[in-house]
This record gives sequence, C-alpha cells and structure tokens, in this order.
Amino acid sequence: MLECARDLEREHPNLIADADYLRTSKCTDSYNCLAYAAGDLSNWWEPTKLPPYKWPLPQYDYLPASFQTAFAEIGFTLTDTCDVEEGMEVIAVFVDADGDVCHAALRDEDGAWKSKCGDRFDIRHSLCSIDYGTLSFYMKRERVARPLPEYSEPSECEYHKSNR
Amino acid sequence: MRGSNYYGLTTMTNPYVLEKDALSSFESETIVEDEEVVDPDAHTVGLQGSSEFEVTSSGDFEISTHCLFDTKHHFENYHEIPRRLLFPKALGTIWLTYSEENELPAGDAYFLWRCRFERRRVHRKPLEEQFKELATRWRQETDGYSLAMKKAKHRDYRTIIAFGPPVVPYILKELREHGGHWFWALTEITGDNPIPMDVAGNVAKMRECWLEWGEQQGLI
Repeated sequence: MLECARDLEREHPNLIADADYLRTSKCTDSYNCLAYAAGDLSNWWEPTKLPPYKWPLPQYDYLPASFQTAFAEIGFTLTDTCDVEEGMEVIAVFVDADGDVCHAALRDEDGAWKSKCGDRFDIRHSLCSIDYGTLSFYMKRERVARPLPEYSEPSECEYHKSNR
Repeated sequence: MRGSNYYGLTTMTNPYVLEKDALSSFESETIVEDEEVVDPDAHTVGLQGSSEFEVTSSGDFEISTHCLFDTKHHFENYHEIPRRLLFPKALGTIWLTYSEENELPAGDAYFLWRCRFERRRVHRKPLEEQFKELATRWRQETDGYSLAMKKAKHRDYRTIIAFGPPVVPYILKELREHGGHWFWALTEITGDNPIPMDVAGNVAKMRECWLEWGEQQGLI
C-alpha cells in the first residue's frame, strides 16, 4: 500500500472498515477539498487575501456564515438534508474545535461522498468515516459538470516520492 | 529616607578578546571573574558594572553573567542574581552589563558580591539542517490538512517563521524542489507578496512567482 494512503488511514481509522472507501485520484496539492466541492480541480480555494488563494468573495474568514455566503456565490443554498435529488449535488461542511470551517465533502447523484484530502488524493467514503471535526451544515446546488480524474493504483506516489 | 551607595566592579577598559582559536577548544570557561567585599553605610546598595568583549569569531557560544550576593550573616545562602545571557551573532564589540539593587537587613556591616562572566559553547545545528528537520516533520504532519491556514498554524511552521530572513533561501529551495504551502511563511518573513490576484489559488504559478522573486533578490 502507498505510504500516503497508510498515513490517511491512520488519521481517519474508520476508513479502513468503510466499504465505500476508495482512492480515486493521484496525490496533488493543486487543489483542496473546498476547490473540489466547488468543482475546480485547478486551484486551491481558501478565504485568505495574503497569501492570495482563490475565493469567490473578498470576505476573508473561516466562519461558517462567511463560507455559506461565499458558496452561495457559486450557486449553493443551505439545505437541511444530505439527500440528493436528481440533478443536484450536496456538500457537507465540517468545522474544527474553534468553529472554523476545516473541510468539505461532496455528494452527487450516485450517493457516494467524495473528498479531497489535503495534499493527498481524492477518496470516496461514507460521511461518518472521515475525522475532520464536526459536521456543521449542508448546502446544495444543481449538479455541474466536473472533471473526473482518471486513476489507477500506482506502485509509487509520484507526488510524495520527492517529499519524503 | 534611606541613602544608597553604588559600587561597580568587573568594568574593563580594554575589550576582552574572544579569539577564534580559543573558541575551537573550549566548552565552558570563565573569562572574567571578580569578587568584592563592600562596606556600605546605607541600607540600600546598588551594584552595576559592565564588561566589553570583542568577538572575533561567529562561533556558536553564549556569554553569561553569573552573580552571587549575600550579607555577612548568611554567606552560605547566596542569593543568585538571574543570569543575563548574550548570544553574539555578529563580529565586533559587545557590552554585557548588569545592575542590581539590594536592600540590606538592618545592622549588616558589609556584603559580598561575586560576579563571573563565562562563555559556553552552544551546540546548535546549522540553520539549514534545523530547517530541513522541521520542514520534513511539518510536511508529514500536515499533509492531510485541508486548509493552508491550518498548515501555517503548525508549531514547526511557526518555528521556521521565527528564524526570520536567514531562513528564506532554504524555504525557496524547498519550494523549488518539493513544493509545499510556503507562501504564508514567505509573506510573513519578508513582508512581500509577489503573487498577483489573477494567479491566486493556482499553486504552481504561485510558486513560480516566489521563485522569480527569490532570483530577483539573489536568494536562489
């Protein structure tokens, strides 16, 4: 098994027994979970001005309310349920112990949850098997076309090979 | 109203030269030592002094004062005045000063004052080695963090920032060879931001901007 996958499973031990758990991309730091949830696999999304990451609004903090306003700019609305209606997609947003947004996972029509895990890879997973703090709220929007990275299990992680 | 007397000792008119050859052969040594019994006529006694050192090598060492004070009644229970440390980082002349004021119990006729300046070798790793160790651990421990802000709050990242401008060339080298979210550190240390808003979020281009900046500054 790839060392980066072992590291992820050590940090999120519930993934090991998760029947939905599957790695679906190679490792990269080109985008993060917020970008993935927004459908952008070319940029790192984060509400900061310095250093300047991508963010849809000039409102730079990690509060859930600010996040909701920012993601409303790209078509998301708050919803009480994580059920996915036809043609829609849902994101689940997590907050850390300080109450700051720290992760987002995406669910589309096939019902599976999907996350980008930091500088690592994308995964399919059950919502309860990732350990990214506390689930805070859901948002939904009409499903957008999003690139699906091709993936086959490599013998060695090219991204982490030079970083260890 | 009480009066006060000030006494000074260990004041050197000529700098004590910390020579390069000597630096290579010591671990810890006393470089100046002085002792004085003074006979005050007042209850409050102040002490002040200073020594001048000429540093001719930028070796890793620290100089400290180590002072003891007591009255005639309890010489065996010296009051140790907190050490004052100095880490010479540049060649040249430095001054190490001390001052202390003590109130004497009524009836004390004199007190003893001892002061010693010493230097001790400090075994610090070279900055590049420290940086590599911290950067490696930071990368491993924050690899799974979803947000760069959380990566930037990591203790090792903060330590690297605290190294200040001397660490910037190592950060840029790391950025070039291994990538990583070093933008926060570079901006905090240098106060600069070479990333235009039209490439905000494009991590590869953000790196290019900082590497170009480093080349322009002659840092890589």
